[in-house]
Amino acid sequence: MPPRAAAQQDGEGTFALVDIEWTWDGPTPLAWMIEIEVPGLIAGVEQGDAPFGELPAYDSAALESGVVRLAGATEGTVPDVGEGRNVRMASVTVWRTGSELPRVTIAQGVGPGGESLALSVTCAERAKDGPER
Amino acid sequence: MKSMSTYLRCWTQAVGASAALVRRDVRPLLALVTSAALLATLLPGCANTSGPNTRYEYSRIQSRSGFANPAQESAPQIEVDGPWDEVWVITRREREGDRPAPQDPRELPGIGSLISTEMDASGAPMAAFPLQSTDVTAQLDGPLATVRVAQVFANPFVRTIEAAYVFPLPHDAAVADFTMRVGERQIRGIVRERAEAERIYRDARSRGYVASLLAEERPNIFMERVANIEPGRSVEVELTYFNMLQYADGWYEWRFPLVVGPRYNPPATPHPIPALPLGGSANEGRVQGVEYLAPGEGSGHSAGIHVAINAGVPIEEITSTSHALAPIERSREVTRVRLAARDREVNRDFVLRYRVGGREQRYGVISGLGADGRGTFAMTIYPPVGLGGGGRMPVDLVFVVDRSGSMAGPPLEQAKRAMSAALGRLGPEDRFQIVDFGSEAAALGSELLWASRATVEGARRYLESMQAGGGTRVLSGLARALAFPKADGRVQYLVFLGDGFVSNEAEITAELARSLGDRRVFALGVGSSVNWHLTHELARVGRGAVASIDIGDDPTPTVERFMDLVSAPLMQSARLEWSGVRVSETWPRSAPDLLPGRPVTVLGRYDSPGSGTATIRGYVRGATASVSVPIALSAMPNDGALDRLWARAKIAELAAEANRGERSERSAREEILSTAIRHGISSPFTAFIAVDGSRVTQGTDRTTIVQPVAMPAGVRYDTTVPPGRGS
Repeated sequence: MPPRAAAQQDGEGTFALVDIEWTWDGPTPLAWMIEIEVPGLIAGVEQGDAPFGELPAYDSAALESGVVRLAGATEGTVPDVGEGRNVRMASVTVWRTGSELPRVTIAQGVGPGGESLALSVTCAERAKDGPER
Repeated sequence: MKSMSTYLRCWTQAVGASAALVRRDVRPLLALVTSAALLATLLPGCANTSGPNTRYEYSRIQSRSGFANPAQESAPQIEVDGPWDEVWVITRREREGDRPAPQDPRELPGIGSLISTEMDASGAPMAAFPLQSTDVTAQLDGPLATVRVAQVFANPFVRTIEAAYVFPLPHDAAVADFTMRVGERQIRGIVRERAEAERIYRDARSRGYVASLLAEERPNIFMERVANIEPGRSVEVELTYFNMLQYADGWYEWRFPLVVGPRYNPPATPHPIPALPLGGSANEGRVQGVEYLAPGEGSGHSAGIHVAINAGVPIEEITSTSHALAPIERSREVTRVRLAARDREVNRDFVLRYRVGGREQRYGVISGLGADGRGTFAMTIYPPVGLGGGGRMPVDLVFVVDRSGSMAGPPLEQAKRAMSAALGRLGPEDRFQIVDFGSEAAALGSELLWASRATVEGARRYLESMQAGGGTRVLSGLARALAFPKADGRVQYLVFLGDGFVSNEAEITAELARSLGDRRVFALGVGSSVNWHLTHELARVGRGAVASIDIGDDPTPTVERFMDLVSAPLMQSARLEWSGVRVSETWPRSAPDLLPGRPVTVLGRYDSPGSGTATIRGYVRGATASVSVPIALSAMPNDGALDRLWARAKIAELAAEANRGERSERSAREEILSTAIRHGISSPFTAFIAVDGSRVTQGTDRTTIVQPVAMPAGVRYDTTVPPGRGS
């Protein structure tokens, strides 16, 4: 995967907070890992909502080749939010030049029994509470 | 790099295996599953998620017939042979919820008073600065330190501010994690090429986002910036680093520096670190300098320190030579140490020393596999005190003492006491000379002197007349010292004594490497906040050793150990051989010479677990000699600390090779950058950036407040900080 385009000059980039959400459709993963294509550079990773409350790790080695790979573990299980509802696993701050959203390319989890889980994960940009300067 | 499918398979299998083990109630592995640190273990280069809140089982076992870890009954048995066999085992254990609560920074008022240029809402001058507190939490597992440093920046002003702070870390610290807390939200910083991180930071700052940047100015000096702290709000930043404890003469030492001493910047020094008076950065138009508080001033900054020690063997004696300690808490597994009260002066290294029981240490190995199947190990060999046998060897000593302005007062007096004590230990077969330098170098005489009552008395008179002042032209002192020829068949030591407060460390070590020949260097750091990066580099290039003399110490015991060391036979031209195991990429690249009682640590990689022997061969008194130790390379996963330490050692070596001209700067830069990014650690060419993209702060002013720091204990302000501008 080629490195994503990034701003080259001061003032070229804008920032977006992107929520990474798991569509609740089965057992809560014990641990999870995702890869996302980011239209820019990530500048911070934030934890999600319970049970994704632990700060995720990122793979700095993958960043070298333009890949954003995040991984984390859960604490407890997802409250019964109803099948098809989204739970925020993590958020990333993206520094980018356009308005393109990150795209999840791989999402995998491990179930309570050690089984592999294919996770349904999407990205959504969160609205800010004020305009950028 | 492994393919994604390999990663996934490895990761899934490992998590699955751990989950299966949970069902068998293997408690130490529970934390592997319930902690995201597992992912750092499994993904090489993942930002570290372990810290002092993650606990380890640490065992140092000496056994004739194998061992059983009492805390882990289900641990695999490892067979070892011989009465001195020793295996160090570090495994993660479950969290204890024992992260100590920070001491309340508000429990006492800050010292001194300070009038800043900022005004409060009523127009009155403010007496406060952004940095409120530093809280250090260290977990010492055998020789490995995992240290978390949390700093709280607050904005007591009426305008949004940027805070800038220059602070020290140990010279061998591998900074592996950086987070920023804004309110309840925590944001993990990303390690990036430094220029890229700085560009992101500038953009975030100008657009109004809260952001933090952590950049390495020297291996032991870091610059932190926090942008857009709104009035009345605070931002907490936290970094985690790993390093190895120092060990000498039976004592482990953990040292945490709390302030950067005022550096002297010779003309044309690249990347100077100016020592500035309060507000001097604004005058200079730059903020990479360090602003110092004048006598009687304070900033309100305080520090708390908590240390948990898991030595694996009983701790027989524990002390701090720098700070008063609260009553020490001892349990079966952990010894806990903390300051008796918060440090409100924050003007000296915290030094914790402890002596462990058990038999004399000969070696230790820590090892573990990463997710890519490759292992990393750290092997430390403790050469016996009687390494070469036989009697004392005659020596030639050239003392090279810093008498610059920063040494005025107690530091220079300590250096004089140390030299006087060393002179008293010389015999008639020894020779010596004294070189002293400030802005210029001088010497006691023009040739090496045979030690006699008359020459030693003359030398002591010379010391008594020595006055401090001027700049720190180390190169002048070095040139003068190297003018004394080294005689064939005799050992010549250059003995540096000083605080190392210079910013041209690279220039000095490069010159030393070019000119030293087969002389050796012993570096005595004198003072409360020594530049340990320089002293360790001097000793490394000079194939010698380092020792410290704080301003409150009696230097005699240190000097006596030093004299024993320099006059004892050592193993020269050493080379390291391995049998039974395949290792690669060992750092340092070539085996250092062995000095009696001074450990050497080698970090390296391996592809296959197993056991074998490591042998250091060399010459002692001209005869061949060797030291062999068994080595066991573990099949257990490592948690990422070893990888980071290995990468840090590699970066130090690459930088040194470039500095000596053995490698092009461009090649070194590329490899350092790649290594740092791959392992997620700080370096001269990487920085951590964290941006809170959730909201844009209010206000448009972005005043930068440089956090002033205290002058190191014993150092005079008037002889180190030029009025109105940097040195």
